[in-house]
Parts: sequence; structure tokens; C-alpha cells
Amino acid sequence: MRIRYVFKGTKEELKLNPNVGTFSWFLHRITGLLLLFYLFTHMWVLGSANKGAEAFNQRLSAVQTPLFHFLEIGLILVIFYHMVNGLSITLMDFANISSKHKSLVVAVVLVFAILAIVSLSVMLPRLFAPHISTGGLA
Amino acid sequence: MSTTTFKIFRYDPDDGRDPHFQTFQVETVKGMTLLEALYWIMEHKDPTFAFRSSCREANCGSCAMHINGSYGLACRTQVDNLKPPVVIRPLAHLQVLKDLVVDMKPFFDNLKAIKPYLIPGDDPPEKEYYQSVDDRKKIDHHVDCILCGSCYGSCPVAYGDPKYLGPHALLKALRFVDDSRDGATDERLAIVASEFGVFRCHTIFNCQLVCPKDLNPTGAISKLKNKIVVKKFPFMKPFVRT
Repeated sequence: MRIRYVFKGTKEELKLNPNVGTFSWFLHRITGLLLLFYLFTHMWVLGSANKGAEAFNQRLSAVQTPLFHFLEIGLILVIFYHMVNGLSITLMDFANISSKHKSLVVAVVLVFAILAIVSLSVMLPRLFAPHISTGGLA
Repeated sequence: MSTTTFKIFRYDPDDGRDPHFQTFQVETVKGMTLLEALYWIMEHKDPTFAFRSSCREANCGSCAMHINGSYGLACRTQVDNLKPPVVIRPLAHLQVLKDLVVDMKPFFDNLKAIKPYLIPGDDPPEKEYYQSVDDRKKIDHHVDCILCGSCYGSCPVAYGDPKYLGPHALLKALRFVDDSRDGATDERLAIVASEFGVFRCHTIFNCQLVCPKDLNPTGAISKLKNKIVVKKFPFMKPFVRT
């Protein structure tokens, strides 16, 4: 019941308050949950190191597939959004610049875009064409 | 004179029907406010239509409602500026009693929780309190709040938790904390630092966007947060603005 209440309420809030703040709040919560999910997956892979090198290599190779490479791109975007938005809220509170909300939103979008473009331009060739980008070392 | 379509939220607990939207065609004239249009509907179309209003000049805060995607006062909204069909809903997060009338009790209970009145300090003056012009300027902004409930309706945190004090109560708390005559600053900071106080705020900025008086409850909440941080950790003083 409680979960249904939360889903219904979130839908209503997005509908009744179609403002930038509502959407960034919604995305912040969703990306937070996704990061929590990633943390458990991450520990599941790393935890296998307790059972020796063989088990660790085996589990690591299980996540070195094109599907997981695509998910890694999503992960980078999720981390950057959650990080940039979180930092902007902290800055807003500490520096008390709430009256400059619109400039803050523009700054968040710009920093997010720069981080995403730079990291993806490094990451994409390494993930999908390692023989070209690293001279066959990867 | 032209005709504008209105879609209005209707609910009557006595007639047994579910809440629904009813469409009205309203004859509007230039300069007509939304409140006048609502009165026109009540007088010409349906005398059972219920809504709150009083002063008609954005001073009493009775006629706050959800108008075409945002909260605002009906009395200071021009019908000409609204895109038809004009969709009107009651304030959110408060129980609907009838049509656009909601039960404001939780809203005012939250306000009472922060003790919205002057509490004298240990040593009250013999005559009147003296307040310098500079000290008065500190609260100039916050005293304008008319408690219409627009900010409370627009705050998604208030949906999730009715005990959350809400932007209106926290803005009022800062009004007394910043008042040089008030002697209960520590007491009030303890109230707003509680589980349902300032730290529940998710900095969504809806309250700031919808405020019909152009006040800044989000800024007030962040100021209160900083005051609480400095009170607990005095070494943080150079890093925050209170």
C-alpha cells in the first residue's frame, strides 16, 4: 500500500508541478536508488575475491559483455547527474544563493554535459574498440 | 465579451459521486480576474459551487488554488493571461471538503508548532521595544507572507509526510528568528531542527516559484539550516552564510 501511495503521489506531483525543480528532485531520487543497486552488484563482483583469484576472474568475465558495457555508460551518466545535482544543492544551501535558482540549473546542465562528453569520449573507444584505442594492450 | 472554457474540480461528499471535473462556458470581459469568473459561475450556472475568497486584493490568502499547472491566488490572476481550457483544482495535500474548499487545519497546526508569536526575552524593556531600521530590514521580506497555502500545496515533501512543517511555517520561523526583539531563538531553532523540520526539505524550489507574494521560502529554509549548523558547529561560521 505504502509503495502504491508513493508511486501515485510522485506521478501527481510531476503532473501538478511541472517545474525544473520537481523533475530534478525526481531524477535525484531515481539515480540514488540506481546507485544503491549498483553498489550491491559491485560488492557482489568484488566479494568473490574472498574465494580466490579463479572465482574472481570468472565473475569479472561474466560482466565483461556488450550488455554490461551499455549499462556502464548509463552508470557514468547516473553518477554524474547525482553528483552534480547534489553538489549544486549543497552549494545553494551553504552559500545561500537560492534566489539564483535558474543560473544554478543552467550550471548543473553545463557541468553535467561537459563531464559526460569528456568521459564518454574516453570510455566509448576503450569499451567497444580496445584494439584501436589502446594499441591492442587492453 | 468572449467565451472561455473552464474545467473545474467538483466534489460534494453528500451527493455520493466521485470527484470529477465539470466544464463551464464563462462570458469573460477584459480585465476580469479569475475570482470574478468563479463568482460568475456561482451566480449564473451553479449556486452550489463552493470556493473560498474574502478580500479580492491578494491580502487575505483565501483564494489560493491550482490554476492551469501552477498554484496562485484567483483574485490576482487575469483570465486573459490563462490559456483555455482553464483547469482549476483545489490546493493539494489538504483534504477536500467541497469543490475548491479544503481543510486547512493541518496547515495551521504546522504553523502553530513553530510558535508564530513574539516571545519576550529574559529582560523585557520598561516601555516599548526598540528596533533599529537595519534590524527591521532583516525581516522586511518575511513579514509579507499571507499564509495562502500555495507553497504547501506545491511541496512534494508535504505529500509524503503531513507532519513536515512546510515552507509557510519555516518561513515564519525565520521571521521570528531574525527579529531583534524576539528572545526564543534557541527554542525555535530546536523546533525547526527536529525530525520534521528544515532537514526534510529537498530544495525543490516549487514554493519559491509559486509564491504569489514573491517570497523565498527555499532561501529561508537554507538560512535556518545554516543557523542550526553554526549553532552546533561554531567552526563552520566562515563557510556558511546565515
